[in-house]
Amino acid sequence: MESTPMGHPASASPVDVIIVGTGFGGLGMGSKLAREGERSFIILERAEDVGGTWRDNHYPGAACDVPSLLYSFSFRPNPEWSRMFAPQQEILNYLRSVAREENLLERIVFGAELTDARWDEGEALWKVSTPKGEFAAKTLVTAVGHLSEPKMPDIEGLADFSGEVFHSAQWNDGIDLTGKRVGIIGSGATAVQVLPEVAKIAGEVVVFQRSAPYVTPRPDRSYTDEEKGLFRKMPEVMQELREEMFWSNEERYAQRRGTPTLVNAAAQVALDHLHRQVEDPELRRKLTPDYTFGCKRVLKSSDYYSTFTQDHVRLETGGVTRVEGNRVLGGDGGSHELDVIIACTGFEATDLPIAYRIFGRDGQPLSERWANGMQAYATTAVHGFPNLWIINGPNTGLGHNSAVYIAEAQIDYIMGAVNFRDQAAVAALEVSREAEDAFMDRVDQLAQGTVWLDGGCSSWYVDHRNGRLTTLWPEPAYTFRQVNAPFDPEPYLAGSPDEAREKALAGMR
Amino acid sequence: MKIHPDAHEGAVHVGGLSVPFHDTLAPEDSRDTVVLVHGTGGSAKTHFRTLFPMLAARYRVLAVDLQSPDGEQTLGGLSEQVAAVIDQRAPAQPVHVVGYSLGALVAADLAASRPKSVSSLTLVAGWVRADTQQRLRNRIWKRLFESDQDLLREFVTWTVYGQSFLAGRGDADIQALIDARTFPDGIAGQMQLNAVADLSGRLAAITAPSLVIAGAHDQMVPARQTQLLFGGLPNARYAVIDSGHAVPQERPAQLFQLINEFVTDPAAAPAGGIREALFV
Repeated sequence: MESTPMGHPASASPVDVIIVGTGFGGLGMGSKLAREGERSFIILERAEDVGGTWRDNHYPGAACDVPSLLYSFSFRPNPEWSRMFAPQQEILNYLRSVAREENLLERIVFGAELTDARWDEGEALWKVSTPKGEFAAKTLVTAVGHLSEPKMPDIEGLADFSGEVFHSAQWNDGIDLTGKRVGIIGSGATAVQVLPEVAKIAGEVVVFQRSAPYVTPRPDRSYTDEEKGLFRKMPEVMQELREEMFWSNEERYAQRRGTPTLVNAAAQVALDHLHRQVEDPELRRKLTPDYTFGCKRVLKSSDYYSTFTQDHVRLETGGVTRVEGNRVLGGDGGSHELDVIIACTGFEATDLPIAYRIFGRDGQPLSERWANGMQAYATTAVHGFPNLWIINGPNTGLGHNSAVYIAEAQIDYIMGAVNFRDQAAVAALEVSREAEDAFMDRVDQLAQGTVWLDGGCSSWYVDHRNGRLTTLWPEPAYTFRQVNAPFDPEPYLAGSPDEAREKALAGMR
Repeated sequence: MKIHPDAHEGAVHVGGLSVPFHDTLAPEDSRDTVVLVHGTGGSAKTHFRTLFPMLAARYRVLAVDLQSPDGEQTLGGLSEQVAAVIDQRAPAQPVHVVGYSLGALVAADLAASRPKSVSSLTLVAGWVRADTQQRLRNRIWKRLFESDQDLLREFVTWTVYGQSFLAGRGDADIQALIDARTFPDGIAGQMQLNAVADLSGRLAAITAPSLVIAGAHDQMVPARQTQLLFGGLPNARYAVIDSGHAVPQERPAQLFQLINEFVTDPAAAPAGGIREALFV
């Protein structure tokens, strides 16, 4: 061996596991493998730092909508959060500390964007290409997130805009917005955080909204020194608060099941918030959503609505029609000369770019399997792609609770799968198509009657290609763990001859 | 507005009282029935506004609005109201009965007197017989009810919710909770019943699979008092929720999770066992 068994391998020698991505999913998976200490692994990262979405989205005002004691690993509680809803820089620093303290840094290959991953049936290995060389592993775990590929709006003339244009996830720190005329395209989760900050320094701000979001107050506050001291001395207090936050969020799931009493009460909180912050009836009307509460992501901000009452901030409700030179034309006829355009237009969530780079059995691209919308057994395994498990893939988003909780459940599943495979001495595990389809039918069934399908809006939760709810888990978060964390070998053995199947199961007993 | 879009509203007449119900029964619905019995001064809408729709996604839900007769109230009188609603709306099969607070005592009374009607019993924040701590609060309540109902609204808000639930809210939210509190007709009679109701010696005869749920920080029915239900019921499991007395309002999702898992297969967890909280 040219390297230590658990360390950074030479390109040629296969490892047990290759993880792709260093966000919460990838670092969580790596931490579990490192703590178990049974397998060699490397983590591929396209950038030069860890953090995934929390590294890329460093726009002013960036923060998380889930309180930090809950939006963190269960196995690494952090007593140092400055606030209930920590800002992006703190979340990024938390992830850096996880990478460092879980001894993951020496296993991460930076600047190694996965360009091609192919299943080699003969060797039962995944062969992975990156700018940093070729790698091979028995197991491939992708954890690239569903909010990692910025989506630019398709607007006539935008490319020829005479000022500066950038996406919020590719914030251009080189441009000083002080005194500038700034256009913000979009009114989703990012815009709601960006606008109040940009409005503090810009000379003029125009928000181009297509549909108004529901915005509820963010009950944020600093943690006191006494609280942080208590968290350090009695970590169980953090756990109590975490569970309180979790179950409080779970209650919001009931609002997504189309019960008018609950939906109306929840919507009223947002509308009351709007009325408290905005007096002008015309502005109120423009900021009032025209679809059912919860159909699109419900946003949290205590200073979004009030920002529109400032004289230099304007709202266009018809989106952007086209761009001519330095002039941006709104759908409602407004025309604005601008210096900078910031696209807060979200990410490719339903058509994941990495699916075009992964090739399973017989060279089939994952994107082809998913041409009519993505699906996976237990949200992580795809027929035709042996020994591949996907973190943060189909049906893993939540409209109401913590994504880290979801990733941890998937990590437990993958650990169960890999342990089974190795103990049963099976070279590869491939889920049956029948099990995968049956799982998706079940998800479809659970999604019926939810506000995401029936709420009268268009959102990234539903894949326009098949009308299915492919990005969200349609149930309370706790059932995600119950359904998707325990590993059951049965769906992987369905196609095996009886003898092999018995042998594999016997290996486990 | 109805408690749930699928709920039929109606009333059953029993003992000179008209007892309202909310029933999601639809033709062809063969799912198990869950019967909800609210607590003191409440109704299906005030105590189960979140739990009812959560359960309705998986079960036929039948909730009763208990009525107060003139004169003294008894557990037997209240459980007859529940029995009458079950007899008229869901006579075919035994039902899963869920009772909260005083409703837990009513549900236990029903299970003792009508064992064939009850396939499982879930008792939330109930007790066996009020102890001196409970009776002291009950006396303060009575004096404030007669002398200063504004102060009573504050007192009840302070006692009914857990510390962390109140501490996590702003002053305006607390005031809204105080202002929303009402004292419906018959509440004084129910409070009197709370002081004297006694299930002592009757629990051993209840054979239905049971789940006893306590609020860890309950100031109205201390968890130790709820644990005595677990002690007395021969076929019971126990779970605790990190909540004050207002469990269905403070932690409805966790309450749903516990009830749903229990009702799905009441005998799955062994009697005498403690249900651990889910990993978060």
